[in-house]
Amino acid sequence: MLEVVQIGIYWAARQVFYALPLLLTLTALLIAMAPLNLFQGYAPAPDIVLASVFFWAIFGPQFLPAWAVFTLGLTQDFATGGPIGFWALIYLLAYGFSLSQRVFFFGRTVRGVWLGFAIVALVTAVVTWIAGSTYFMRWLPIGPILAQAGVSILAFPLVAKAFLFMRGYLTTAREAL
Amino acid sequence: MAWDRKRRRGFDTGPIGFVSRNLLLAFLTVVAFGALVVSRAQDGIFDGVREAVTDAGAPLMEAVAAPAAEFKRWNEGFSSFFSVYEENQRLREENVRLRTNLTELAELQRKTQRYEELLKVRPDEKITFVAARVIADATGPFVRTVLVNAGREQGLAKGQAVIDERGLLGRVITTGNRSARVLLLTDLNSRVPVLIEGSNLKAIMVGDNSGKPVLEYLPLGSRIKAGARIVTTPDGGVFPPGVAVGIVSTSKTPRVDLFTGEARADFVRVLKYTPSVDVDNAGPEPLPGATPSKEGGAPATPGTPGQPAANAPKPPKTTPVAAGMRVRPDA
Repeated sequence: MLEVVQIGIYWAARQVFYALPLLLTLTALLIAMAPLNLFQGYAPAPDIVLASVFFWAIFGPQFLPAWAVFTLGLTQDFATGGPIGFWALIYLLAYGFSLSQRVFFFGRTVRGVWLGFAIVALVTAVVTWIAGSTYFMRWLPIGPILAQAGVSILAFPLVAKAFLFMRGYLTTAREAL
Repeated sequence: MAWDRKRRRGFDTGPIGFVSRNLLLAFLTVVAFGALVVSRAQDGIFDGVREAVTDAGAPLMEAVAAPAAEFKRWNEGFSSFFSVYEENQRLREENVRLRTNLTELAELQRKTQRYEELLKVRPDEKITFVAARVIADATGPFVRTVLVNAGREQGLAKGQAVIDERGLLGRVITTGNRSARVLLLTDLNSRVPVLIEGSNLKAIMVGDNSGKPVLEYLPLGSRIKAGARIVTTPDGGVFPPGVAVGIVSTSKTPRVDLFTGEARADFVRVLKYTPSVDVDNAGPEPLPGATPSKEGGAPATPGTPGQPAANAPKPPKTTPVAAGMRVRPDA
């Protein structure tokens, strides 16, 4: 009986451990929504979810599977009050695109991966703009979307460093568990 | 064996191969697209779920917002540290000016009260309010909303105006039991009936996700001065009259510099306003001398009572505001 409980605890701990990328991204999403107003609302916050989706699609899709990306997108939809399914769709498309280019990006230098994210962020911004304009049936101003993509590109090295640290821990701890 | 042959022929490469290897991803993409189509086709279908999720997440957001507010205060204190002398001087001067204004205001209030008594003016509806704290700032590239920590339990309802110490901020769009979502004036779904002071022109202030909403449905050929003050009107029965909104911007198209700006306040007030007239069910005002119809509604001018006159003049094609356009609370 004790062994069964032990196995159960280990299993649960393992699941939480491997869900760390999802939990960390969700936490970042919630913190980004805190009413800090650091730049008086003139500079948009970076899209940490997109950076996370790109990073894990390239460096460890097993740690952030499609259902986790769907959860992140849906959480953002509920949290922002936007149309349900919008961000889930956008992030899944970005994840799919990044995943399909995984072989190309894997093993590149930091600058190469950064350039890759810049391309993905800009393509995602354009897709978001087209999808948003189609949904609301009017041309939305593209400026704020591109500004957010720009801030996300600038913030990517910092975000990637944190995730890289976590990835190293996750991959080496696999044997330990 | 067969699988090896397929691989050699290249069946596992290309889009089909990618989808076949990532069936869950493909399935969830279809689900997300389906949800988006459904939410577009049936507006408000997910409102119940959204309210429940927002309510469930509100304590968590509140927990995150508390240290964030402390950090914000610390950050503001630090940035004002170097300008404390100038700030003090400015506040002293402002204090002197405001004292003078206060005396004038008291005098004007007495005068207005006297005139209203003489003219037997019906007093304005009393507006009560609920104070609430902003717990999340969900401002994205095309959604401008904030979450507040008061809901139905505190008497909040859809459509109520939300103000901060500077002026109108937005209106409540969804309410949970203990939380509510406020649509900001800059959101592209925001429509607010406003009055331009001085010229007495009415218009609809339309958000377009930029920092400055546009003034639409202005009467043709109307001229408005840059810097004119803009306040709310009770047209549509959503907003109380006279709430400060902003001033007319100096740009080419008529836009509004909002008093609230892009920065958000920590605390807001939700106004509980009920118009004295039910605007959705009230018929048009009867013309002087006209016989009321049996239905008690439309005024009957030259034709048969209760029926529209065949030769009755058509309403002038001016503007929707002039023609009594109503703003849908859920617009």
